[in-house]
Amino acid sequence: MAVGKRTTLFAVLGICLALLSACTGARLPRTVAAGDRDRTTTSLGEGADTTTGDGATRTTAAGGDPFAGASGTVPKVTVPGGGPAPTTASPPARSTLFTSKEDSVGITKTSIDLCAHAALTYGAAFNTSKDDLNVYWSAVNDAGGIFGRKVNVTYENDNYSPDTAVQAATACKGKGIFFLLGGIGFDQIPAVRNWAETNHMLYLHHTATVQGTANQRYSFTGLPSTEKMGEMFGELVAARYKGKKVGIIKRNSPNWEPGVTAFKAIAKKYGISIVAERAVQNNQGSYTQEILDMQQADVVWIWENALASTQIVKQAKAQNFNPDWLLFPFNLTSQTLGQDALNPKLVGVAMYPAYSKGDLSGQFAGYAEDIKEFEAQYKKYRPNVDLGGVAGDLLFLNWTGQKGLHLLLKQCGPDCTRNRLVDVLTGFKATRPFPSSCNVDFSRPGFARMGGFSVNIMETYRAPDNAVNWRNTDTCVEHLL
Amino acid sequence: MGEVFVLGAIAGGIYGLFAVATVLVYRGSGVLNFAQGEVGTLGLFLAVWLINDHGMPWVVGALAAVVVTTAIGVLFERFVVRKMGDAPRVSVAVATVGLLLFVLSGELVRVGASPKSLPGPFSGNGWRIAGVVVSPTQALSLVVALGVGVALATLLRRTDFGLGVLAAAQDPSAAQLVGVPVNRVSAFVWGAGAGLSTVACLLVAPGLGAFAPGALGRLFLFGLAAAIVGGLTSLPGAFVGGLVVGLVEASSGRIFAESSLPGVKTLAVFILLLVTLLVRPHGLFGTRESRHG
Repeated sequence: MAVGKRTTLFAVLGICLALLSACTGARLPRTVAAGDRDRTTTSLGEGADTTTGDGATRTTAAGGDPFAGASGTVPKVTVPGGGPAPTTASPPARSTLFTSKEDSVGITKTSIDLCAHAALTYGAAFNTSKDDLNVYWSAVNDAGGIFGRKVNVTYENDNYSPDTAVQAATACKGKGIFFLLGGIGFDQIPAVRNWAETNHMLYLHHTATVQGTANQRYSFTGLPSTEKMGEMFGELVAARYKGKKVGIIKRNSPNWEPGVTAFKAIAKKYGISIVAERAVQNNQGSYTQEILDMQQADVVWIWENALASTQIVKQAKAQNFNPDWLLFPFNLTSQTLGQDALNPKLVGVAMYPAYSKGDLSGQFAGYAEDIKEFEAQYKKYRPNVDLGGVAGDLLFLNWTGQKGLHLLLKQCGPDCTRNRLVDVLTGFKATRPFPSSCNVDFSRPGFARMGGFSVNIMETYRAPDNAVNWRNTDTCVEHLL
Repeated sequence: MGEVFVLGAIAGGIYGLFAVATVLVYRGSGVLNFAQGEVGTLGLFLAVWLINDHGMPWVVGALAAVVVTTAIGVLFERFVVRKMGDAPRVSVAVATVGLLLFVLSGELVRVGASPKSLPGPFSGNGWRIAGVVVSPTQALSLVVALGVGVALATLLRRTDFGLGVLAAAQDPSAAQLVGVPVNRVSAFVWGAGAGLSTVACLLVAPGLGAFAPGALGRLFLFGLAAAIVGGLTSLPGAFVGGLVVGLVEASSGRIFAESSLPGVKTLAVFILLLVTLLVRPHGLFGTRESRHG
């Protein structure tokens, strides 16, 4: 073979490798991406004590759910209209999103089939398996399910790639599921949202942008949007680092950028000086140049996933650059950084509650019942899972998401269909329905089926078991200013 | 400007090391080994296990990692490459992609994808040069890349074994007829390539701060670009190619620092690669006649 042709051929192979690496290993970091946690479920971290639009409420015991009796923390459910919960056939659903043929797909008298797209390839990032993720449903099903229905959740790998996520969603649909769940990933959710519209699939997903959701009808999330997260990081800077110069290291992605725009709007409003803003590529590896560009900053906001955040902090230390850091709070990051995560303490904004195995002090006490229940269930169903390791906080947020989903399905009632669930979702408004949950309000106008507005502010600390973990300093705050 | 040179040299040393390993295997077998970066990463995890988890000295953990990955390279040659003796070289290259996926999957299953970190062989804060703190390990990687490139070039040019490596790559049958131990030569280049990749990863890891399976893929890719730019047949060229790629990356990063153009550094290296292939397909130091036909 001629030299030039051979070289060209290998170059082409090299490019193929690049693509391959982009689809496999290169994804890890996103693996541990920003919100890379609640891979399983919804996010609707809410449930009962719900009040809907008409104001009149009535209370029933946990929607008749057998699981309610098995758990001291399943709250009472309030539904509109007054009087006891209906025991006869429910009135027709208001929503007409689904045809009669589509309405009851995936739900029978004995089962509810759900499917999630998630970055399963990197499940190992959290030292978790599918069985670890399904502990909550194991407990629910063992207690009789929801109105006698067992909940079955399966998973399809989205590899943190929008294209693969759409393929995963298609595979999920092929299983005849009741609705689709979207795991963490700023980049894949918008693609699946578009897919859900054209494929008439009810889609409950993790944090994503408001941008791009105009006129969409099939997608919901109970978590704060990407924009809200950026706004809260901005408010945190304005509240805690007044007068300090700020640098931004951000993911170069249109699905992340709206968070930066929101951050900068807050910065402008409160006169925060942004001295440098640098975009980095997914899995860039070396960030020395960007770190050097941050030298004038007192505070650096890292709008990137956990691996990149870890690398940036580490590489900055090597450059003797030691600003205050703001980033997504994962125990994965703090435990990897160890002492470097405490000097100074890292600060984060999260859409999920902090978890540190066995610690019920401080703000953990506010949701101690949930922590105890979570630890008890894992002790029973998955005793070998190391909740004190990097998986602990991830599994806890996953668990709280499932708990919220559980309450949502109970709200939907014994005659639940997709249209009835849409009715529940569109009117869903709950104040701290269970201890580890923040408020959810789908009734706010102009928020495109996004019901989360509160976040948790966290900082790193030395946990009782000596690990460096995160803990809440402010729980469920909607504004800091 | 000084900052760009320092950053380029640091990155270039890393790319140069990967490039030297790539060129060695290519020169000895006519195959691009796409698994090298990940095999090196596997060695890194072994070193983490020995050094971090079992408290062994850095040198011991590093040596063990190099030995084990060298063995993997030799075994891959023995049970895959050799069995594909008459197959087109491109087929063997595709087989290395299979090895890449196998190793990556193994890492994910066995060690998980959680970030790990590994200290360097030296402690100390390093030296501030043109505003950039250069760690002792980063300086070492530059020296090692150059030293290994020159040493291997000397080996291949000045020794019977080295000439045998070149002969076996160009015409295995003829080489065997004149007494070149073709199988041993082949095992050497595959084993040494894997071992060198591990050395590269061991020197890169402290600078990254944290790594996970597949996370060094981009660095290997830039090492591959460095090998092509330097000339796939030239070991010193691999080192120079590494520096060129590092400088292009650092320069583009500085010039377009404010740009929101996605992947500007990667794009710059890609353009460098394309220009090289169009203008000088045999690279800066490669020669047309020394390529495998």
